[in-house]
Formats: sequence, C-alpha cells, structure tokens
Amino acid sequence: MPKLSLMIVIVTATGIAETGGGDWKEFRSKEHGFCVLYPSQPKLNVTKSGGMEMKVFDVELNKCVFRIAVVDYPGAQFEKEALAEERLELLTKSATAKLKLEKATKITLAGALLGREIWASSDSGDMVHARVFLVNGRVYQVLVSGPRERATSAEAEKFLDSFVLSQ
Amino acid sequence: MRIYGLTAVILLASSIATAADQGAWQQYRTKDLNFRASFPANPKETSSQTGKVLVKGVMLDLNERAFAVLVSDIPGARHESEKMTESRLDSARDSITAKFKLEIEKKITIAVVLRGREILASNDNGIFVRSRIFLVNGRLYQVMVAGPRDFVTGADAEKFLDSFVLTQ
Repeated sequence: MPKLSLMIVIVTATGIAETGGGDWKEFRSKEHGFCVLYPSQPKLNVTKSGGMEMKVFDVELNKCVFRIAVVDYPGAQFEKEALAEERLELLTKSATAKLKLEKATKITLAGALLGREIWASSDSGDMVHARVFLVNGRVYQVLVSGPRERATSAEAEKFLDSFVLSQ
Repeated sequence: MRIYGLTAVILLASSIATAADQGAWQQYRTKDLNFRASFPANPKETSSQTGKVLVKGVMLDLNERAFAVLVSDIPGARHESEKMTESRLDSARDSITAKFKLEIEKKITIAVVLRGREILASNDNGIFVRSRIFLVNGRLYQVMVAGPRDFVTGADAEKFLDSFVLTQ
C-alpha cells in the first residue's frame, strides 16, 4: 500500500494570511465529485508527493484555512474492509505526524463509506480539525486549521458539515 | 447473488396518483439515509420490505409526475469486488426492465469513483421511468422520476436528479 503523506496538507495549513470577511457560497466541483460551503471562492493548488497528485482547494480567512484535499490511490478501489481501515489509520498517523493527536474517531459518509474525524494541535497553539473519507480508492480530506478557537468554531463546523459527494 | 427488488419503482410508475399541492422547490435532507435532494413539493417518507431488504426513502406524487429517492442496504454487500459491484448494478437495472422496456442505459458515477447506472425505460401505457442508481459500498441509492416522456426527459426531472448528493 502506498505510504500516504498528507503532512503537506497539514503543514501548509499553518501559514496563513488574513483576508477579511466571509461570504459563504456553495462550491461544487464536478470534476472532483464534491460540493461544500466555503466562506469565499477557494483557490486550487496541485501538489505532487510520492508519484501521487493531490488537488487542494483552499480558502484562507482570519488566520484560518478551510481546505478540501483530494487524492486518488491507484489500485485502492474495491479494497476489503480491513485494508480500508488500515489505510485510514495510516492516513491519520501521517496527517498528524508533526502534530499532537488529541482525538480520532471513526465516522462515515453516506452511511457506508469509512472515515476518521481528527483533532490535532501544534506546539504553537494552532489546531487542525479534519474529516478524512475513503471513497473507493479516493481520499477526501476536509479540514479547518488555525488558532484553536477558530478551528473549533461554529464556522469550522459549518464548513466540515457541509461537505457532500455529488454527481 | 440475490436480486433485490425495485418493487417500489414499479409501483411508483404504475400508480402515479392524485395531485399534491405544488409549491416552490425545496431541499429535503435526511440524516438517517445520508442524502439530500430538491423536490418541487414536500415528499412523503416511505418504507417497504422486499425479501430481506428494507427499502426506505421519500416519494412525491404529483399529477402524472412522480419523484423518488429509495435507499436499501444490501446484506453482505460491503467491500465487494468490481465485478460484483457491476453485477449488482445490472440486477438493479434488470428489476426495472422486467416490467419496462429499456430504452437507454449509461454508466455514471457519483464522487467520480462510485459507480452507477442511468436508465430510461417505458411501458405500453406510455409511462416512462428514468432512474439513476448508485451503489455505495453495499448501500443502493435509486433516484428516479416517472411520468410521460417529456416530463422524465425535461428540465424538472433533470433538476431533481442532479440535486441528489450523499451527505455525512
């Protein structure tokens, strides 16, 4: 199984600019099959790690990053449950490798797709609240990163809760 | 492999009932069944048992037009192979075409990687069924409209079918 390095996502989610007030809008990516509410129009960045391409949709607002990251793992479609769980465990470890994992719980999407909800903090006092979903070989990472009070705010929850899979 | 019935589809298409009050389009969301869709009026919840499979969902019957989303968890069907996934989607299609003549079928996806089928079928009474079927790790979602051809291929049907998303 390819080692997953979502560290990039977490690491880059900590250096943030302030952009002013938010105007929440639905953002739909037909190409990537998701829909979510962002506080403003996200910017798309493409990063490559370990031969895999990660599409990252970011909004930076008031020292906080609102992020969706999408990665496809070739050969990981139609995996058995045990392998899917193992992959999620690796994702959790990788994503929090340079952070202190505070809490991780099992969650689902569409009642049947496996996922993890993660809370992790850095020495500087920043926090990451992430939901990671494994969807037939594709990983969706939905996260808010920033000062603890912002990463655990109602706005952060609004963003995380609004993520859906679309046609 | 068991063929889980789409009895509700057939019922939906054969008993398009009395008109309900039609208002503005509204979003229906169910936490229990993990989907969201927009209907032209308030749909009614439905539940029926087909063999060992419980089919739950929502339906809206308007005059000669019907909208529905039906959800069933297929026992033992989680984390299956590609071949079995395709086979189950074929079975879902076949249960519609057992009583309707298949006119169009195409492979579709949700979230790019979750497989599905879009089907257009009709019967001798001029009733058409257009259905999008998605298999999500052992859970079958059927999003469908039924009525005259111009309705099921029209803008309202498209709006409804496109509005369907999978939620947390």
